[in-house]
Amino acid sequence: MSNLSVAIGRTKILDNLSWSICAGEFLGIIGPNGGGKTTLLRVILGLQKPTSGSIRVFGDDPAVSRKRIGYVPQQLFFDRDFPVTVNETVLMGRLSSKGLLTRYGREDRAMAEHALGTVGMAGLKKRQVGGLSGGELQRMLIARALVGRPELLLLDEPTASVDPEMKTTIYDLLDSLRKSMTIVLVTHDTGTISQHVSRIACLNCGMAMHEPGEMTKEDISGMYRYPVDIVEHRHP
Amino acid sequence: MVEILRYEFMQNAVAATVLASIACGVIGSYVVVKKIGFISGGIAHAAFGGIGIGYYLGVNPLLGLIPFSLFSALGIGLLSKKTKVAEDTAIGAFWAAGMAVGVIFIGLTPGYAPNLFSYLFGNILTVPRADLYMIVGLDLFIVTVVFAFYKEFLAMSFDEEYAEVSGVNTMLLYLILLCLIALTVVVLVRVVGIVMVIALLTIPPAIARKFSRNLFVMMLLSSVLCTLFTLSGLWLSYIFDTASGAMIILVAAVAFMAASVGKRLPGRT
Repeated sequence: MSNLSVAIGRTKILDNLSWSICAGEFLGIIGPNGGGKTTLLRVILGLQKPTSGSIRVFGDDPAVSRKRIGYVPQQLFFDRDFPVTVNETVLMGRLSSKGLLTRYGREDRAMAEHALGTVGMAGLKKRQVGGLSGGELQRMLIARALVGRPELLLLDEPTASVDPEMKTTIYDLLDSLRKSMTIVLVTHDTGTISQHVSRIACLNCGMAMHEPGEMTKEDISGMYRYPVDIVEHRHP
Repeated sequence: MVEILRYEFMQNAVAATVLASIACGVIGSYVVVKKIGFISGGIAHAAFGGIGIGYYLGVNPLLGLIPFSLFSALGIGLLSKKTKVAEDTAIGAFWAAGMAVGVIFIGLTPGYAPNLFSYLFGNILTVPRADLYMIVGLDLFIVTVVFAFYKEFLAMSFDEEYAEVSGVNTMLLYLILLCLIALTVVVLVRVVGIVMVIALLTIPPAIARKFSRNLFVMMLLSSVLCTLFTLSGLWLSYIFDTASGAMIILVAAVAFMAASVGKRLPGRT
């Protein structure tokens, strides 16, 4: 990503970002609401075109690389009455690998089963999505992102609406996943992520990277660094 | 009940009812889960322009209806998604403009427009064989398209952004869906007329959704319910000698209220 800027209407959401992420990394992105975190993910997914600058994902245009990305959206705005089962929703993660006019086959179902097992929801596959709890819903969305066997996993505040215990479960899950894929996590859990991620980025229109060494030196002040960064951005 | 089935017009009516119910259940399910009932109403009313043009040209009004309703479906879809026009504004504009075109062309047609009323409010008892074949063709087409794009339609209805990320052209798919709605309107016009199409597209699926675990079950169930409503409406209109289209809608509306109230009673949440 180089000199990337995004403006929606006249509001500048992301200003002149240049950064890259290496394979196998676990990057945490923190920043205030409206700081452009979700927009950044949308740019990586190719849902949002940059106003200027360029972005390459796996060396290609985002629209081309999408198939290799798993995406866990912030919230699922859906109708609780929507007649769809957990299994069918997870199968949607296979959509990008299937052509038009094809159906989900035995292999797809096995992969969905496996992904649901990974997030500990194997027993709930026949449940209707509307009846799931917040934590189950979140894990189902992770399973949907995993079922496509992504090389890059993007998560947008996966722990925003779950209790502390579920939060730990989700972080344990991410810890086990990082061996096999690159992870970019957008979150407000400023206190917890420093123990899990390899790098932290602060995003508030501009971006500041923090290398691993830097993090360990001030590990206790993980919570404290955050407001300081915002001030730095405002007065560069 | 049995003896009236001996009349050919009654056989045609029953066949048209059942055939229309298939399209109605399948497409109506999408209308309800995607909450595009108002768009469907707009497409249906705009389609009146096609009927007027059909009259003016002296062809079967259903033939005028097909291209015109497809045109208004695409118009509403493109205007609301590709320009800054709000969706309800686009719907309102097409809704009224289509009807205006219809009124003008019927006025230009010399003489009195016979069975105009049957297109507005439906009259299933006058369905000729030729229309029946057209309904069969449209039914087959609608079901085939839905079967072919089932997983894409499901993903788009449930989570449009994710479908887009998965490489589905959601805009194109949405326009296809609107076109299918337009064709379903054509099928249903004979049964309940363009004014009341919207009720038949939404009521059976809305009831079916309460009892369905997934979209496929919902489609099946709403087709069955739709058949049930239209046949019993037809039968009641025979007994009380009233307009069949209106009777069908009344039966559906009563069932809808009963289902909504029944679901709220204690013990069933």
